Formats: sequence, structure tokens, C-alpha cells
Amino acid sequence: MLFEANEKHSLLRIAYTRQNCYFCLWEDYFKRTLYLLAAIGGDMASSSDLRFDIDYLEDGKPVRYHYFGDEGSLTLRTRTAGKWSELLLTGDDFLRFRGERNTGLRLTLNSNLPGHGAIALHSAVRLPDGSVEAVMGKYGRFRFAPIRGKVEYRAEYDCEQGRYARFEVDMLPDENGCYECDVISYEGERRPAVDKRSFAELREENLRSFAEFFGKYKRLPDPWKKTEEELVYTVWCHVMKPRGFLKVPMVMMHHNALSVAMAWQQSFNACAMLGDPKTAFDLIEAMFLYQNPVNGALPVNVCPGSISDGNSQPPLQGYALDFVTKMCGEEFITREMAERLLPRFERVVEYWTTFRNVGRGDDLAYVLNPTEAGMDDASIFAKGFPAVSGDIQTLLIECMYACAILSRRAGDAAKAEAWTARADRLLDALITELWDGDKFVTKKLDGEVVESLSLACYVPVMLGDRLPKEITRRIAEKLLEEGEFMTPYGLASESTRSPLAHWGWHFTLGRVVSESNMFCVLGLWLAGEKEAAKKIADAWCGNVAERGPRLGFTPAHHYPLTGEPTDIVLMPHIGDGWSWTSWSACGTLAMLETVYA
Amino acid sequence: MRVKDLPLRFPTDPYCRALTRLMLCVDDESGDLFIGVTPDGTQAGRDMLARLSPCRGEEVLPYTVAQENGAIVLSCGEGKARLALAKPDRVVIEAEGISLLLGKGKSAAVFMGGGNAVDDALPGALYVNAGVRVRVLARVGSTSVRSSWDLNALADPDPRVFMHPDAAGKLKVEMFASDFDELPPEDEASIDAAVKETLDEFGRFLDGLCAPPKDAEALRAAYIAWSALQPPRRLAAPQISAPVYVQNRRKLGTAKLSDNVLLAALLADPGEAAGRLRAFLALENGEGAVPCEADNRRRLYESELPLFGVVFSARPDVLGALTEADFEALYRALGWWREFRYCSERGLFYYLHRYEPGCGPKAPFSENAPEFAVELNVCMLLWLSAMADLADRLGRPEAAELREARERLSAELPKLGERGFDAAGNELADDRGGSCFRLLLGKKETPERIPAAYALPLIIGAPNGADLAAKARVRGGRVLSLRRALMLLAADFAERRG
Repeated sequence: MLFEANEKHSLLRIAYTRQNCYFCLWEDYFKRTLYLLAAIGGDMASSSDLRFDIDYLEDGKPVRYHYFGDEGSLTLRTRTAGKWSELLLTGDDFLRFRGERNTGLRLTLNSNLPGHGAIALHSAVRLPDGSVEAVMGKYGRFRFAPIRGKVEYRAEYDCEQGRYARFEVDMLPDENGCYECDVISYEGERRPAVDKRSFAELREENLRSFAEFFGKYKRLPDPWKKTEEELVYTVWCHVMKPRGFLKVPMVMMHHNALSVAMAWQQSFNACAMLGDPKTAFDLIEAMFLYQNPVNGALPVNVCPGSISDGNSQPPLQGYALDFVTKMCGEEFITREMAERLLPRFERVVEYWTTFRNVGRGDDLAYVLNPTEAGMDDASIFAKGFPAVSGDIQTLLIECMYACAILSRRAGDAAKAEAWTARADRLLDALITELWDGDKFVTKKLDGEVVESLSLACYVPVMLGDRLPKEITRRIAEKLLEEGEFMTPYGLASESTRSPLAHWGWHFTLGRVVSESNMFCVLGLWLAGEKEAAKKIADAWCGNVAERGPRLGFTPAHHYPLTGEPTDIVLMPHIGDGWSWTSWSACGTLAMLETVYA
Repeated sequence: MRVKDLPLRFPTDPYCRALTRLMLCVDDESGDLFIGVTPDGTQAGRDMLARLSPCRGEEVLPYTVAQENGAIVLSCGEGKARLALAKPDRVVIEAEGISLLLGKGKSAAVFMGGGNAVDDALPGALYVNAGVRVRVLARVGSTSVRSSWDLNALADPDPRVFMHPDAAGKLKVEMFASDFDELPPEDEASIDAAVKETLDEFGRFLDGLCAPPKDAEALRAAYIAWSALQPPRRLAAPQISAPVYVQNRRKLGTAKLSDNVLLAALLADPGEAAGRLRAFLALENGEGAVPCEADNRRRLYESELPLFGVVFSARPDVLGALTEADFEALYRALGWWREFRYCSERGLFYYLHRYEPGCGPKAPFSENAPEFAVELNVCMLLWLSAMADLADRLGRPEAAELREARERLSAELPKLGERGFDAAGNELADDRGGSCFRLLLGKKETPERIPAAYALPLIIGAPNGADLAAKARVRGGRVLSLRRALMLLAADFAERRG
């Protein structure tokens, strides 16, 4: 994949990084320079203090530059012929920079928060070997280590404020006009040595890693090959390696917003890894490593610096396991894998059926807040919480079926049968209680129906052929009905004729977003409504092929109901509407692999 | 010691107790009563999660709130309520003649974690704010909820949990706080039992001090210190394994190594003092570094001026209570400084990073790091001395090399002069006041100025600590943090040691 300033693959929208690297590069829209972020602390990028602006130096002075490159490395060029600098990121906690002909680079610490400047720096010192160590609190330590040339730094401390006002590091050439420098990230006092591999070797390693990553997916036919490359890149460059609280590799959601491993994201990504179901299983299992020891809930997200366990996300793990085994068979699940995961899965089901139980004596459940719903601002929650919605019943049903699968693979047929029966009962309750003939409604605990034109009302179609044909057929009709949900870009998250539809900063109150399109496409496909599934997939995937895997899209410039112009978020800003995200990429891959591969 | 009431200055001080997160606070602006929890780490803004008021229907009634006989009393024209804290982390309320309302708090919301009042299927009602769940259980009387939802704000604009008395006008409620969903305990607590338990525990803390607080100010300082003790919680990845004393119950729920180590010197029981040290030594990172700060969710490994030696010098009996395992833990921690901050050519220890002196971000630090500072080398000498003595007592093979290291450092210390020097050999500016640490080696004088950041170890460790405490004016100031409270207690300790 070719990256270049002012082209489709500019770094205005795409994070430049690679698997296992916590750094990433972006292009600043206003400055037209690159900047470096490090997603170690789990901050939203908009509130991250760890940002380095990158200036290209010629003869010691910053000059405007152009960039281009591929997954292996990036080149920075100016108007001056024959002068360049290069950089690459590695999966081993360091970056490599180099250049010739008296070029250099400057990194300036400059927080994304106004007024914070160099606040991330706690201390900077010159080490005996000529490198510079910077201690950055929760972001860890960084060493700017020259291989050729030298490193100079300026660290100005404001005693009155009690923090650094300025921190700049220059990588400067030697007497031959060449420089090469590593920026190494680590924790603790034992500093890693400079890696001995050459720039060329490291670049090859990046390209090899990217090529190998394709093996996790089913290969796609033309005309999807280019799109496939973009999607696979997007997931590959969001893979986080173990560090701090992160014990196993997981997939980050965004490099520039929620730069953490969200719980249900791992399951979304698992649904796409149909070329490597073992890795899919690992991703599903990953979040269970952080299971709450008291109540069995899974946290919302994990990153090297924190575990966010004050809430839960929707329990998508069961759906993912069910889907992957439907597409790939169950044989890849060994007895050992099943025996290890089954009790943890059962505890999650127990958590939901204990703490979110409606209280009628069955397993009907509610969600207590937007985080648990995943579809944060869907209009099915217009009357607040608790809400007895179709999506949570669906996910619980899938968790129960997943417990049946794991029981079967663990050799316990009786338990498998019991879990299947329990899932079937909850499925009956879902249909009996919430299907009104046209859609799955949401109710309050007292039974009051929440009027809603949300796509969330149809998301239970993800149960596929477990639902009666008349239901899936009706859902297919409703989703393709003119003037409702179907747009040129896929299904809108709120009917386009809803007075609540909002296409600005809201997430699932109108925009065409990846996750519910994926649920509907996969569900309809497995239910046998393949034509409907393909229509929706064509729209979503075709749009992504053109505009990239962003989290969501505005369906039109005017609201059909009122004729008013759409609410907008003035771009650019650091936020999820702007960049390519692994969530959208994996959802699109899952659709493509299901419908086209 | 029998205590009739908690010596807090309510409402300035929060009403709280050791080993519980919950507290009752009064808002400076409105004078309203809030329930809150000690924040995790530096995540401030959980001290006022929900407002507690008497009400008639939806109407909030005017009321006064005061502390009486170990409980908080909320009084209004129609009746009154008594509140106390019980374990585990619950507010116990007994009221007569009034209904109560738990309403919108002032705490900062986390992402999609704003206030929310829920009548769910479990017993009682749930009030959620800033990631904290407060389950309101009416043991006598009942609860109800008023909630609405703002789809744009993704929050309830005015969440309310109502607590209604029974037909006889009696109301008894327990509120349980947790980070996540838990079934509330079935056992019931009572105000009187909770108050008695609280006062008894505080009394035992006072009995456990080397020097009983000699006046009201010191008693209040003891309360602030005692109530700063926070328990480890059962999380997926807890970062502390034993209770620790945090810096400020309302604002800063992180525990500093220096506070917890120095507090050990003030505890009469050497075994208990040793436990304070163990709480942090257990958090060593594999390189020997002990975190300078820790709480349930995070550890910060930025080593600061090590004060173990100050405690051992002031309290040889604490050293006598240490075990083989303690020696090994301390030896590893000492090893970090010897491996990473010792210059064998000079025979002296140094600071590399500007936070290492441990006196705050506004303190000066040389541009020419490393710094060979007096206070660091004095503290290392005291630590090496203690470790050599401990190794001798335990018959450890490390005893000889520790003695040798102690001798060498002792010989090199005079080369530092009054203040120490930087990498270029320039004498350090004395703005940090590190030269005062020579007092810990027996230098008998009272300096012109006692640096605030170093007052506590100096008061504890210097033979004329009482004079230093007077010079530092530890009495008569604002005491809102653990550090200031410890300085007051240390003044009494130094005076008693005489």
C-alpha cells in the first residue's frame, strides 16, 4: 500500500504504523507536517500529552517536506534535489530515522491539549554514551540514541510552573552529512541496547510482517483486492503487543481516539479472521484474562496503562465464537482450549443473568447504561435505562450457544445440551416478548414500549437461521424499504425518516456505521436472505472501497424529513469520524469474506 | 484510648474512617451534604458523587448538618437523620420523620459515566456516578427512583433516588459503594454499632502511636492520618496488595512511598511499623525499584530520595523486627540505588533525574546532571548502616560487603562539602535545603530555614527534631493532607523522644 501526502493514502486519515508498535505517525492538517503519537497511556489522542511534531532539517534549519512510502518505511523529501530522510517504525519498541546530505530531523514535544506543551516530560538527561533519556511518567521512558551523527536536545524547565516548557530533540548529521538514530521506548532503568539490524533489514521485517498478516483472512477476489490491502493494513497496524497490563496481543480501536483494546472489538476482529480461526479464538479469549474476580464481568477495555473495569461492553464473545465455528468448523477448538475457556464464559453469562436480570424468573436481561449497549446513543434508549432491548438478549443467546459449543468440544455432551436448551428458551422469550411483527422493540422494566426507528431494532437478525424465516424475511424487507434505512453507503443507524436522526457528532443515531451493517449482512446471509445481504454489503463495502474504513458516514447532505442541512462536525479534529479505524476495517472484512470470498 | 467523638473539623474535613472509601463531605459553596469516595490515584472528583438531602416529595427541604458523638446529624424542621460509616464501605442512615433524596452530585463524569438513578431488578435502587455504584437499600421504609435520559448528553440530567419512611415515620437505609456490580451484604448494620466500631478503631490507632497527640490540633492530625488508610480492592489487576495511606482522602487517592515509610517511625509497635514498609517493598518492579507512588490501579516507578535509613536510625527497634524476607526485599531496593545511582569512581551516590530529590516539581535541579547531593548520600549512609546491622543480626553473608560500603561512603561524605556538587564539579545551590540532612548524622544546630519538603524526615530523624518542628511551624497551619498531619504527629514524637 502506498502512502503519500496529498493522495488517497495520506496520513491525514490513516495512522502510519505497524503491528506491535505503540507509536504512530499522522499528518497535521494545519501544519502539513508529520507528528508522532504513542498510544501507551490509553489516552484519547485529543487529550494525549505525548505528541512529537516532526520537523525536517536541512543544514540545521526546518524546511517544508513531502512524504511517501509503504508499509516498510517512509521517505521525507524537500525541493532540494538529492536530499532525503527516512524513517520506519518497528514492532520492537523503537523507531529508526536516517538521512544523508546534511539533513536531520527535529522532534518537538507538544501536547494535543492546549497549553500543555511539554508537560509529559518529567526529566531529560544526557547519558554517558551520548544518547538522551527522557522520562515521561505514564508514557514510560524514551531514549534518543544516535547510531551515526549526534543528538542534541533543549529541555527548558519552568520552576514556577513546576514543569517543562519546552523539549526538542535534534538528530544531526556527522562530518559526512549522515545521521541515523533510534528512538527507543522502554520502562525501568535497564535501557535496551540499540538494535544492530540495518535500516534495510528492519524495513524487510515490516514488509514481511504485513504480508504474513494476510494469512489471517480468506483471500478476496477482484475487484476487492485493493480494498483488502487497505483493510488488512488497518487491522495490522492496530495490533498491540503485550506491555504493562496488556498480557496478550489485542487489537486497538483507533490510534487517534480510543487507543485501547475495547472488549467487543476483539470479537469483531475475530469474526473477520476466518483464515486463522485459532487467532480468532485467542482474540475472543483475550478479554477473559481480565475477568472481574468478584462478579465475572469483563472490563470495557484494556491498554498498557490501565484496565477500565467500571462497566462492561456488550458480550459479543459468544456471537463471535458461534460465527467463527459456523464458518470454519469447530475442529480447531481443542479440548484444552474448551476446558480453559468454558468456565470463564459461564461466569460471564452468570454475571449478566444475575445483575441484569429482568426478574421474571427467566434469563431476559436489560442493559444499564450506554457502554453496555455498544450502540451508545441509539434511539431505543431514548427513555433511558434500564432497557430491555433485543440486542442484549441476542448476545446472551449467542453466549449460551457458545457455552454449548465449548461444552461439546470439552467432551461434555449433557452440558452442551443443557446450554442449548437454555439458549433456545431465551430465544423464545426474545421473540415472544420483543418481536412485534415488524421489528424487535425495546421495553422498560415495567413493560412500557420505547418507540424507536433505530436500526438496533433489527440487529437480532444476527441470529441468522436461528430465527424463524418469517422474521428474517420481514427484517430483510424492512431494511431495504425505500426511505427507511438503506442509503447509498449502507444501512443508516436510525431511519432516515426519523425526527431523531442526527448525522453529526452522534454515533448510532443516524450515521451509517460499520458494526450494525456487519450484524445485518452476516445475519441475513446466514438466514438465507442472501440477496438482501449482498445489496447491503455492496453499498457499505463499495463506499469503504472508495473512502476508506472510517467508523461511520453521513448518509446525505440534508435530512429527508425536514430538508435541513445535516449537522456536521467541523473537520479536521482528532476523533473517530476522521480516521481509518480497525473496527470498521474488520467489520468490512467480515462482510467481504462472508459474501464474496 | 477512649474517644467520644472523631476529632475532625467538620465540615472542612470529610467524615470518613480508615479502610473504607466512602465519605461524607460538605460542599464549600452550597453547604450541602454529599456522599463520595476517595478517588483512584490522581483521578480527582469523586468526593461528591451524590447530594443527600431531606425532602418532601420532590421538594428539597432546608437543613443543617453537624457532627455529634461520632455520627453526622442532618436536621430539618420535620425530623432528623443520623449517618455513620460501617464496613464494608457503607453509609448507614437512621432517620425519623423525614424522607431523604439522593440527587445529582458534583463529581466529574467519566466517559458515558454521568449520574444515573436506576430502579433495577435487584433489591433497593442504584445510583451510579463516575463509575461508582451506590446501591441504596431500605431496611426500614422503601426506595423509589426518578430518572430520565438525555440522548444528546448520554446522561440523566437530574437523577434521583428517594428514600421513604414507613408508616411509623421510621427510615433505615444502607448505601453500599462499589466500582462494579456486587450483591449487597445481607447483614444489617446499625448506627450505634458503626459509631462504636469507628471510635474504637480510632482509639486503637491513637494507642498505637509512639507519642499520643498532646492537643486538639494533633488529635485532628491523627484523625486525618488514620482515615487516610485505604484498602486494596479486588480488581482484575490490583496494584497494591496491602492497605496504604493516601495523600488526601478527597482529592488525591494515591499513596506516597515517603509518607508510608515515615509514618512507620511514628507507630509504637515495631511489627506494625515493619508492615508499613512491607506494603511498598512488595511492589518492587523486578529491577529493585520501589514505586514512589501507588494506588489500587497504578504504580509510578520514579525513584525518590530513599528514607528507609531515616526510619531505622530513629527507630532501631523497627529494624529489630525485620525478618529474612524483609532483609532480602530491602537489599533488592538498596541494590537499585547501588546499581543505577552509584558512581564507583567517586564513591558517592547521585541523582540522575530532576524528580529524584523528592521535593516536588518546583524545586531546583542542576542543569548538569548527575547531582551528588548531600541529602541523598546521608540517607544512603543511614540505610547502608541499618542494612549492615540487620545483616549482622541475621547472620547474612552480605554483612561484610555492606559494612565495607558503609565505611567507604562515610569516608567520601565530607567531599560533598556543605551542599554537594554536579557533574561539572560545581557546588549545588542550596535552595532545596539538602544540607540540613547533616543533622541526621548528629550535627547539632537549628538551621535558618527548614525546607518544607524535607521537614518530616528531619523532624523524625534529627536529635533536635522538636526544635526543627518548631522552626518549621508545623502547628497552627492548615492540615488537610496526610503529609501535614504526619508533620504534626512527628513533632510530638520528636518532643517525646526528647
